[in-house]
Amino acid sequence: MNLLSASTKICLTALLGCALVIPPRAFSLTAREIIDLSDRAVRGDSQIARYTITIKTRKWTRTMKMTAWDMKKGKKSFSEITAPKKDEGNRFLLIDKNMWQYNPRIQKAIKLSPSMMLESWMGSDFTNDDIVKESSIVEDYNHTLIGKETINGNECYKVQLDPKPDAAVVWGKIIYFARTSDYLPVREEFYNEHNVMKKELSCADFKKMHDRVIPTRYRMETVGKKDKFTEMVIDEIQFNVPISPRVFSRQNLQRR
Amino acid sequence: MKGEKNYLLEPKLAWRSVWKNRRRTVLTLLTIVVGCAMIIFMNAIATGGHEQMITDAVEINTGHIQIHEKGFWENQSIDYAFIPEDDLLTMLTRDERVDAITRRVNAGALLSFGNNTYAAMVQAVDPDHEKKVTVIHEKIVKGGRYLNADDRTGIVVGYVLAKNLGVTAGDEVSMISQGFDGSIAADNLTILGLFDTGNPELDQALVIMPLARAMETFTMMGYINSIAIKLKSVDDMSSLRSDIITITDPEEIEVMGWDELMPELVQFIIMDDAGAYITDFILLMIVAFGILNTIQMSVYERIREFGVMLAIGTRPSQVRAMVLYESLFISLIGIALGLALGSVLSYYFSIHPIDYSAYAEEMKVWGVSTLLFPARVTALNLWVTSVFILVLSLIFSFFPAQRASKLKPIEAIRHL
Repeated sequence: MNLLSASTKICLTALLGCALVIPPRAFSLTAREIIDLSDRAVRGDSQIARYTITIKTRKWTRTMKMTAWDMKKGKKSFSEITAPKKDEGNRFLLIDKNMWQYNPRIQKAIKLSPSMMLESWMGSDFTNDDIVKESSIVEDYNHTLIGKETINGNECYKVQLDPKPDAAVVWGKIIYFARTSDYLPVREEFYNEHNVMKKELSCADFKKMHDRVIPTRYRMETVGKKDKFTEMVIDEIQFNVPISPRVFSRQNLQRR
Repeated sequence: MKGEKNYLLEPKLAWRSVWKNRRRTVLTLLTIVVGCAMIIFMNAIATGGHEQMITDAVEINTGHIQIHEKGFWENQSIDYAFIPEDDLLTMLTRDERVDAITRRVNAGALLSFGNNTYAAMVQAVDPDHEKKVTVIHEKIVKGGRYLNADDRTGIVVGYVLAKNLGVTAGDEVSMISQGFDGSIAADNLTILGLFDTGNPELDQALVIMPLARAMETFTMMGYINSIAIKLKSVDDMSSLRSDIITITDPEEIEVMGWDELMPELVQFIIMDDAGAYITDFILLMIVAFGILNTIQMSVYERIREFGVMLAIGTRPSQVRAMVLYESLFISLIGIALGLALGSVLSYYFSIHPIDYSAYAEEMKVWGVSTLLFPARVTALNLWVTSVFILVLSLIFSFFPAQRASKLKPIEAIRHL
């Protein structure tokens, strides 16, 4: 015996169908779009920035100051350590997949092979790759929106990034948390190929810098090593300013 | 016969039986003597050979014992450094077992020449001390030389690393690394020579530089990463290690012997020993069965004799004892001669070690750089071999002895 009449069933089916076809407003953006917006929110086509980097390890805590020039086109990056005196004058140049480090004491530039991009930068929790932002989270990964989560009072989209088969990236998976309001990153969790979380990046101190609001404090921690962390604070940054191509040259790297 | 027991009855009778069939006894003795001597000799070569392998491995770069800050060996990072306490240094300089010690700074670094950059293990040493502990200075390839005490920025590198970088003696390379205080450590160093140790790990990554320079470049602030110790005798490693552990804080300092520094060597020796034990076992079985055969035959031939003895009142236990005594005498004589022969043979080879120099290339495949294998007899070797042969022969002889004691006199006397 049918509890529902034929007409009622038709109506219900129609309503259900509508609900499926018309998506709720919160999910109107694709995962990829969220990541793209997030990436663009913190990076411009070019930027010049001054950072204060604090590295804490088992034995020591160091604070360095660095100035960096980045150009998205051509994947170019140039940075120089400006403090403390001991490390002042060390410069790093990256063009696409090639990296050079210049040291003022020996007055020589050393070329680092692409495999060294995964090595720790200056003993910190960041890799060389992280510093020069070589990998693109937009291009090299597939994106899936897996939900929402509130972190430190910020409501965030939770996006899972899985590397594309031919992408030269080190992580097996990244979970990316971007604020629903302005897509700024709040946290990134990095997993190895066995799905074990290895590193965690947290972004805080959202402030207006130049023409936009961005997180100005990035803290990278290694899972399981509570006494180590690396913190990068943006002291000043300018987006989309013209940078002379001469900045990204070996001459600039090795100038006295 | 009532009255006092004659305890020498069975042994005396047994002794007579042993020599009654002289030929058989001598042949049996031959089996035991040769078998025993072979076991002694084989174990002596194994003991001597292993010792030599340890010595050869240890003297290349490791030393018999190393002392570090706790965690250094596992993490292999310049971060783990210590300042040796005065009482430790005093103890090491005074101890009789210690031949020499050397202090080192160890760091992972990048070595660069032109467009080539390679990862390297930098080991900073004081040449005069280092030469007393390790032998890399004897393995310098022609055309180069080792560090002198007054070299400030001279280095020697493994020949494979040099080949990879495209450098040779006289070239200047750049080194970049991280200092003890976290700062960037960099230096320009000149290659004085290349070395060939036979150990691929060292030949493709090791760089030896002056300690004084490294203390500055790496901002060590007086800290060092390791102390390597050379002993006068390999056997002293365990005892000295315990003594050092007693006077250092185990929370702060780790003391490691060559068995912990080179576990693969330990594994190889264990494996090699296992092979030797199997051969030992085979030889023992041959000896034991040889004895069994003799005693069996000897009993069989004297069935009538035993029958008579049992008929006139000899107790079965006495018959069994007699047979066992025979076995005992033959074994003891055989063992004594076997030990003597084995020792003489081993002594000869301890003076003239087995020389594989002609096969040096083939030996490299096994990862063993030892070419001379001496023999060394230990008291343990002699005791264990003797006891095993004795016990086995008595056990094996038990069966014919028992059968002899269980003979029925009437049937035995009628036996052919």
